[in-house]
Amino acid sequence: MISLRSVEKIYPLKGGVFYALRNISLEINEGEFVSIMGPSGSGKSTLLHILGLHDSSWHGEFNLLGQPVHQLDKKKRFDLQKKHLGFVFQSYHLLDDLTVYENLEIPLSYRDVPKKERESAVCDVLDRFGIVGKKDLYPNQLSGGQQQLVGVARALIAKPSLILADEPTGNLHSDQGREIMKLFKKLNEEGTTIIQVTHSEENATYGSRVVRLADGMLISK
Amino acid sequence: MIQDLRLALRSLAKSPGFTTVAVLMLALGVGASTACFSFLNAFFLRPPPFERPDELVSLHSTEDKTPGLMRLSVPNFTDYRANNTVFTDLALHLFLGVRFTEGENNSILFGHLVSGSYFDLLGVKPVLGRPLSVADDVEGAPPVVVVSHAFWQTRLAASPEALGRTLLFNNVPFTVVGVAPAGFRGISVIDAPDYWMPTSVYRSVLLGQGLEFFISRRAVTVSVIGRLKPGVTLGQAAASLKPLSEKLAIDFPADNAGRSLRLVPIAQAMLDPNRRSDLLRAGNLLIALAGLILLIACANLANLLLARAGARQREIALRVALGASRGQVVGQLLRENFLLAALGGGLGVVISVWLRDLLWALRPPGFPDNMEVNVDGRVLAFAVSATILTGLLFGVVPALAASRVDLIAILKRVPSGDNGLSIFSFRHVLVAAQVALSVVALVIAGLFVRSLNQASAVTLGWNSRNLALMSADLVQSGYNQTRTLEYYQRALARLRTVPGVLDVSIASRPFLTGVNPQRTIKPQGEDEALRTRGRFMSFAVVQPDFLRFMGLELVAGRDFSVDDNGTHPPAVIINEAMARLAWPGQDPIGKTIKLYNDETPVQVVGVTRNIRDVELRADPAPFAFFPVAQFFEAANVFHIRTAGNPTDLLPTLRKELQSLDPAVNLRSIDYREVIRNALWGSRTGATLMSVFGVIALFLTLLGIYAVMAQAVVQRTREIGICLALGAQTRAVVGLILKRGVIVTGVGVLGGLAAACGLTRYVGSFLFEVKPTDPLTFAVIAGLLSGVALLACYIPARRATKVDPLIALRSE
Ligand SMILES: Nc1ncnc2c1ncn2[C@@H]1O[C@H](COP(=O)(O)OP(=O)(O)O)[C@@H](O)[C@H]1O
Ligand SMILES: [Mg+2]
Repeated sequence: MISLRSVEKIYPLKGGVFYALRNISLEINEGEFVSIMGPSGSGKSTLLHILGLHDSSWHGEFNLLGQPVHQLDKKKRFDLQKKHLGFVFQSYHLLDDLTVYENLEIPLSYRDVPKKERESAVCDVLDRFGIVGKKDLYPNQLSGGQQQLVGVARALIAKPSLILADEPTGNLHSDQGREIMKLFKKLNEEGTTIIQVTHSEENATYGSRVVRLADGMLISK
Repeated sequence: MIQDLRLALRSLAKSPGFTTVAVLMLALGVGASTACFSFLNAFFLRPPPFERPDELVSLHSTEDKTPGLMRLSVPNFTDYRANNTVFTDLALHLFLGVRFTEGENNSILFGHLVSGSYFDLLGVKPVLGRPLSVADDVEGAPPVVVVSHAFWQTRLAASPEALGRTLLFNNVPFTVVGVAPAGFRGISVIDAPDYWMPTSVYRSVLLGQGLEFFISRRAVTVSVIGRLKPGVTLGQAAASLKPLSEKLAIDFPADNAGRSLRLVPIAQAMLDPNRRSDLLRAGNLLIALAGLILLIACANLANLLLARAGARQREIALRVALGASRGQVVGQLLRENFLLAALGGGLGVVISVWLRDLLWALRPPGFPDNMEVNVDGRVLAFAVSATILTGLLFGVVPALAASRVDLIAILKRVPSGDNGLSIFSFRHVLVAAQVALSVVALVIAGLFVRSLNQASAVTLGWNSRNLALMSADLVQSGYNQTRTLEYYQRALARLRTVPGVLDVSIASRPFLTGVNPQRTIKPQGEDEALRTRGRFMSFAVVQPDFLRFMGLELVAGRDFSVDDNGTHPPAVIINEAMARLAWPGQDPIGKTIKLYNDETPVQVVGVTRNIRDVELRADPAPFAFFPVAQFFEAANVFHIRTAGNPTDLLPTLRKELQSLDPAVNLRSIDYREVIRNALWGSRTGATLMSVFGVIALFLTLLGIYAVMAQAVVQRTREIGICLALGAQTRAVVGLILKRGVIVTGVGVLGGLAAACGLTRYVGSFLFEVKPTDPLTFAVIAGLLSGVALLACYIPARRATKVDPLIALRSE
């Protein structure tokens, strides 16, 4: 599904260049649940943003779902991202001005899904995550765990084949974090590939594989 | 779509402060320009309310020696009507005032004398009864009248029985045969005639000189319109009429030499063609200034939106991360901005109605009260276009700028670097542009204010102090020459006995009222083809003591005396301008002039200084004074000099004259009123421009303040560090002020340069002030810089109140 070959990320700095990622080669297959771990500043987020197609200024080869990302133009990358990727953020990043229902609807409306289908998809997800009763509330009326639940639901709603999560439980109590991890595991068992960044060894046990980074280099795959 | 709009509305409702300010600014801009446009529309754009108006033209005489477009004489009209091949018909109308008697009351009512086919030619159908017809317009036909809708409503109780009633005009009974449609005012947009009479009655309603002029081929008294035959163009008609006017000049050289005919499409003749271009330029100036305000409002809004975009970067980045394309993000922002524009535009239309009434209250003296300046389809279309245009102007750049986000930086909550700065510097450009625009608006306002000062302080060259005017309609009361002169003597004697009256004199015309009778004056000289020959010139017929009474200074010759009467050779006193025009470099005393249709030489006995007589402007025109005992004219404006306030004395004066002959109608006015009217243009200009200038200034200050205040917020951390490191308050203020000073400076300089280039377009509105008046430019530059710096200083002061600890922790 994912294949990185000699990927490097450089930040030009005053004193010279800084390698945020150095010579990363990595294969991830469909159906895996990968945890990326490493000390702070080791390049985990940088790697995730490259995988998520947010970042386009890097070197090397990157094949995603059979497409050579390093050769695609901006529009193609964007289409690829829209079609196959979903994101969960550490700080949830819900839109404060929209209700839970509307937050869930947004990715679909950006994908030009007709209104009827949007409705049924959102209701499905609300059901599945057990948050039907919260659909008309605004994010600030929810607990952190509930907000992250909505964040995960939103990442999922457009039926992506790959979910990327940057420290999804970083802002949560361990109980709440466990809930999210159980959810991830369930999604993974249903076929969704998941890549998460985490600091917690416990969270990593929910996954099928751990990739470790240090100083921008892979030290174990 | 509806849901999208609902979301946009909700997003605006989330920041009510921003939304309110934005909507108000837009409403002000759209409202001001729409109000101005509704006048332009009413005066210039509304199609004439006649049948097939494209075929209608207005016919005018032109003369070699006299500038401007003139009317036609009745005999010439008759010849053109009989001999042309290009018009289906020609019709004439003459604006006149006739004494109207209603029970015990007499008043002068204004209306039109029209030829029989006038209504048919225009295709105007009365709402009641019938129009005037050709059969009404033959000698001996019973006198009939069509009354205006307003007349019908106010004086005839809007009753259908009004038809057939008789009205007493000049003691002649007229039968009402029709009521004109509401709002019909003939050809002119600003005339307000109360009635229409066929020309066949002219002997009953025209008196004295009016009657004389009506039958003269020389006097140009009537307005003529024609309907072109189908398929005939204006150019073809003009070409076909040329031989006719040449023949008229050959057949009647004394009357028509140097005259030709000019055709004007009716749409351009609805306002006096000689005034039209002035009014049009005034209208355009108003629109331009209103547009300037709108532009400043747009710049302000763009600035506010850019600031808002900065605050919304996280939201936008997130939307992009969730799959929104740039188009979708821009679309959403544009929807919000256009919603703002629509709200502002809607409120703007409401404001425009209100502003229109305000502007209408400032109309020139002599405009009718009942003119309709409607919000019609064209005005609404203008408001909508203005709204859409503003939506584009203020909405697009901020939306594009906001949609260009640095995703990773924002999602990682890194304080933004370059991106914010580039938006920020564009905002500086906007503020500088605003400053420049308001410099232009304020310089124009300043020039108008200077102009008003100049006009108010002008030296008239004659004594206007404590002066009252009374005029008596002796001609309408059937006075002949002997009775009139007798009346004068009795009136003078009576008025002089009133306590508080210092002196009294008489002249045929007051100065500066806008009324400007002229006649053909032919200075005599060796060169018979003298360039002044046959030119119409302004004149007054006066009591012998009038010049002394008014304090007019003679530069040569003598004043009139009581001996300048029928037993002595005729005399005239001319002004310097006429002397210079007629006999340049020669002594005018002893030279002679001749009047139209009169071979008696009139000797120049004196020369007066040029004064502000016909109008306030310098640039004096030729002017001649004739003694009343030699050139009788219904010269009946009493000039009364009082010891105190003339207004207090007016009722007494009126009573005294009334007692001489109660049947005579009197009108009286304090001269200060005349001067006020003469200053109308300058005063209204100064008021309007100042209002626009202040609005522009206010909006600009708001813009500067907003940008500076935001800069302080954005740089809180930097300021905190400076303060923590021990920076002086002064240094911090300086740090913030520096930008403000540069931006303002650039704006002021740019504005001055632009104003230099633009003010010449208002030059013709200014009264003895140069469009590049350095004083005005300097004062405005100083004023704007001062206030702008104040607007920068307040946020800068606030920066020094930053608590370093809180500032450093805030990231
Ligand atoms: N815009 C940037 N410019 C320079 N260096 C950066 C930038 N963004 C991240 N870095 C550096 O790259 C390295 C990797 O960052 P990141 O991927 O965020 O680490 P983490 O593993 O904690 O998520 C860090 O040392 C960070 O300082
Ligand atoms: Mg990180």
